Amino acid sequence: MNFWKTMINRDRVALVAAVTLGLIAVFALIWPFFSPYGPREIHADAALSGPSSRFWLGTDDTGRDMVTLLAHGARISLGIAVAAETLAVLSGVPLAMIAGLLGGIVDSIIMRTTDALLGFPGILIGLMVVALFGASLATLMIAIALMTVPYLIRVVRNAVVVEKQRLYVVSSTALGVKPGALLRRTILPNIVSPVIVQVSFGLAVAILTESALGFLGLSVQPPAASWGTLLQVGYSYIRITPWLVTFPGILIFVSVWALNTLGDAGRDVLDPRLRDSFEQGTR
Amino acid sequence: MRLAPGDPVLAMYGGQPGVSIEEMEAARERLGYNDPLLVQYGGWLGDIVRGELGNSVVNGLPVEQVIAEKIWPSVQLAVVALILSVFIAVPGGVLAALRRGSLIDRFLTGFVSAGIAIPQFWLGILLILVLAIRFQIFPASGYVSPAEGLGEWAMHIALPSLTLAITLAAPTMRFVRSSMLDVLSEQFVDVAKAKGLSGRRVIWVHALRNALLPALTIVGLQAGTLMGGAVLIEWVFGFPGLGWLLVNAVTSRDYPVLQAALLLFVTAFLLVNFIVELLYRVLDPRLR
Repeated sequence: MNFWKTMINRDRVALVAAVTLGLIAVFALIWPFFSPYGPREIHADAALSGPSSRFWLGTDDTGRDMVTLLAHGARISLGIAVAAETLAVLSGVPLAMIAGLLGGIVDSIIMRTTDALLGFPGILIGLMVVALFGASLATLMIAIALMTVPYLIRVVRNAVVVEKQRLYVVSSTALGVKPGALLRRTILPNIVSPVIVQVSFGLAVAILTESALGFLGLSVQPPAASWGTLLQVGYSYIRITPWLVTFPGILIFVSVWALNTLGDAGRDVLDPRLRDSFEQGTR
Repeated sequence: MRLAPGDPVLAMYGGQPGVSIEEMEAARERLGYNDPLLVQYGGWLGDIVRGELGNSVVNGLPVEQVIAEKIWPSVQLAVVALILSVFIAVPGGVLAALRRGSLIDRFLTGFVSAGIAIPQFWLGILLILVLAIRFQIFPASGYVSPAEGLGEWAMHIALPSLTLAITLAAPTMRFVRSSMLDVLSEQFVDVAKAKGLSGRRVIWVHALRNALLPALTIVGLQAGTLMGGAVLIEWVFGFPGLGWLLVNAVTSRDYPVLQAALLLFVTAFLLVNFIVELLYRVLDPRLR
């Protein structure tokens, strides 16, 4: 927890980002319980209406309340992002540890595969996976995990290689500590922070990817709505109701900014020399 | 690709009245969709070696022709966007580094974090909203070839390339700024100043040349991704390039086009990375 305290104290912008993210999460969790409207409740008399006292942010093409849709969309978009990153961590961290600890040919195979994935434009990976297996929640998560896992593997693997050579690790080995215990007690605690930072960037990539695929109609299918699918609907009515495409975009933009800012701040705390440098692009 | 659910034959004939199930089955047999997957894949590899990419299942045209039509607009878009982005990023980054901590530095840093976080296609939509619908300065979509009129061409390519340029310039500017800061603290800059060279010459010639080297990597990577088509931007602006073709092939299950397009992207991507590697060696003799 010391890590987060240092980070917030040092960086006021990170504080703003953390608060913003918290507010969006609270909105997604709580609003559906207070909303006077359901996410599938249709008001045909008020379809495509503008912001009003009845519908604060207007309605979509079927007359559903936009605020309610945004909250439910946040649950889906953020849910997909969290699930994809969990998948990435659960698959990437063990692979990276194996690569870092074993070295040699295993390391080469894992790292070259990672390089190949890194070199490929993310959206193409997403499109390919979705084209192969069809648009579903599971495919979406796999595609996003596949896009973000290479960054995670690289960071963790390098951290493991550095830790492995530290004196205390070498001496623990000399004292007869078993490899499994060594991993848990000495190496794992040291890679938790870099992983958290990388997950923060990964969540940002995940939200952007979901919105892009959703915009192309390759995310969840109606009547379910994510931020991406809301953009798709909004875009088709861009000439009649410009606000429809504006509001979901603002939420995506702000969430991604907040996650990137937190990631940057966290990295600065971990390694102040990296300040201002460019590590992971979001596209 | 053939693992994908969905039936291309159904997509071809679906909705056409008077096509019997037997006829569709015959079409499947003729096109080889009933063969085992490995046989289909082997056949495709063999076709590529012979330069045969097959026909689009949507309109029956040869895949080479379908793709060739789309390459030129995509290349134009990529080149214009990259040039624009460099013209935004380099002066911006240098200025921010020279006036470190000033108001303008903070403004540009804000631009960078916003440019990285904004969904590219949403920025495109916003530009359409403001510059094409509210103030009708630019057309909202489409493409006109330069042969049909340079002015029209520029108007149509302006918004998509500006959208790309803004989002591409953000990471590059961050990079130029930090490497400029590094270079400015090095000794040779002081030496050049001591030699009596003007401040401007030292900054724009001596320092910038060294600072641009790392930024080149970023621009190179971006060029690589752009070769894969600015997928979403082309879709948003109805710009008939490779990205548009790709999305269209995914949604209409046009496998021959999809496979050929992806093959082209991978090749183009590797090629651009190779060129960047060469450029690096030209600009930095130490790497030779």
